Amino acid sequence: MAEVWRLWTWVAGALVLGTAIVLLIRRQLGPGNATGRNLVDRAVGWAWILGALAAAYLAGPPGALFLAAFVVLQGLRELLSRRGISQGRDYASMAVLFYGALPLAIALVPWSGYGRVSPGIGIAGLVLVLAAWTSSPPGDARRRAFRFHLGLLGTLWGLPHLAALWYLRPPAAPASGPILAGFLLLVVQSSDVAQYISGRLLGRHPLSPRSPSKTWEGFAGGLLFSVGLGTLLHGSTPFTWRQAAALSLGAYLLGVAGGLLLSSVKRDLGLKDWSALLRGHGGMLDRVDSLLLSAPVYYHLVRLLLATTP
Amino acid sequence: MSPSSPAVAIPANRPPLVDRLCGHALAGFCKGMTSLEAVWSVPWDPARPRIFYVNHASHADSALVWASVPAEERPRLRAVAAVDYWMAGPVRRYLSKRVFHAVLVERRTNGRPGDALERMEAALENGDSLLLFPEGTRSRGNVLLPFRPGLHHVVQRCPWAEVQPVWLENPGRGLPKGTFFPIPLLCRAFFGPLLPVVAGESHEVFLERARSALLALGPSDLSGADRG
Repeated sequence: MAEVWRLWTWVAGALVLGTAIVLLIRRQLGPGNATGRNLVDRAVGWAWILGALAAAYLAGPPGALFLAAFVVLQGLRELLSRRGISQGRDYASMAVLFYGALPLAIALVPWSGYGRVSPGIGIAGLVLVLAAWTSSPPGDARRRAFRFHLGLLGTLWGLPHLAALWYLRPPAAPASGPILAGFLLLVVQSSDVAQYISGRLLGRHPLSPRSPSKTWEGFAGGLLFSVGLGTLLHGSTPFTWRQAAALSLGAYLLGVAGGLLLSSVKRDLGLKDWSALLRGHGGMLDRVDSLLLSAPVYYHLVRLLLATTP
Repeated sequence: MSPSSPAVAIPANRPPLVDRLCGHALAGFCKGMTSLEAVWSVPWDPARPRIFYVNHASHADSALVWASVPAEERPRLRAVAAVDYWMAGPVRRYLSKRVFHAVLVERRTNGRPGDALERMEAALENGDSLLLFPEGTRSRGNVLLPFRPGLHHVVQRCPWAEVQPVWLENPGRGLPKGTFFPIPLLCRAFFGPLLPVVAGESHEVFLERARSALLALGPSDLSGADRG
């Protein structure tokens, strides 16, 4: 457990340092500057996010589960509330998602069989997504339906794996659940910041027409940063440095893919942000989009690598 | 031509503490369930009587519009509601009278529509604003029903009041007609541009104009039969 708090002192230090830099930049830019204001909003947002995460760490696995439930609930609300999602009369399917699928997705996490049934649930979900894909009208509508349902699957099935990491008890390091989760969160979320910074400073070549703010320069900066950070962190984790580097590379690439998936859904719906939950960050999905695909894959890779049975 | 209001704005009485607490609790619940967001194109000055007309698809509609204005201005915003629904049972009776300050009208007028109109006119002349559902009943699905003539009558009687369309997004999906458990979808209230009042306009022309102003705030795939 001491490892976790050592990491947390680093995170808190990074937040303080980052906030100081942001305040300096804002002073340079002047009080009326939009970029300066946005940077301050982002820093304040990060303080809120890290505060919520620290509370979850203090409360242990139930805290993580509660936080995951909130994240999935808010993500589901954002995904299903926007114009263009439905023709109106969809109360029954909404009720199934909010009062059936969501509580089930969260309630399964603490169960000892979660790791064994989760791939099956994921595959069943993918079959449903493909069924929705084939039953929607061909062309653009079909592609939109596919992306949307994949986002829904990532939110409902993928995100709860974050909390499931807390419940992992690898035989070699039975108490390492919180640190395994922290590794993923640190690598993926800080690479978002690294992508933003290197994209803002060096960005010239757009990564994808779906997401105009992402550039190849930002992608490369994020990649170097996340793999470097992951490798450096291996001493605090049960991984060897090679495993840590490979896992952080995989988490980073899937993180970018998840981000692109949700920004294309956002573009289909004509949205800039998923909601106005956190100033400077947008909605919940804007913050966790990079965990949609990376969390479940990372969870199962960790189970394989550390020969975890439950 | 914009004749100014004959009403001297009388400050609304501050409701008793218990009623205010009930109001805060209810507004807080509405906002929490919906993360309600109000989008104003023309802000409301509570001292000026305004007629808000709203699309109706859910029992939560009047509470949501009411919750989207600041607490101290809510007593000024009075929903026009059906007496048969809001007088049934002590809870509704309490809420409609003491929390919502509703203007209760008969749904079936039996040839005496003047009664309801007089009550609405009295509220406007008292400096209050009205919240009207011109469809007369809750719609199902993504539609806007034809308007009843009531809105036209009020506007003709009180041409000095401002008229504003309000589109409520999602309460009809989260708590549609015939359901009991709300689904916590994010809701928005779009307060559109003011509808100009033309003296002596026929009710067909006025209702058509009012209806298209409201439709313009709604989603583009809305099945409003005669969307032009």
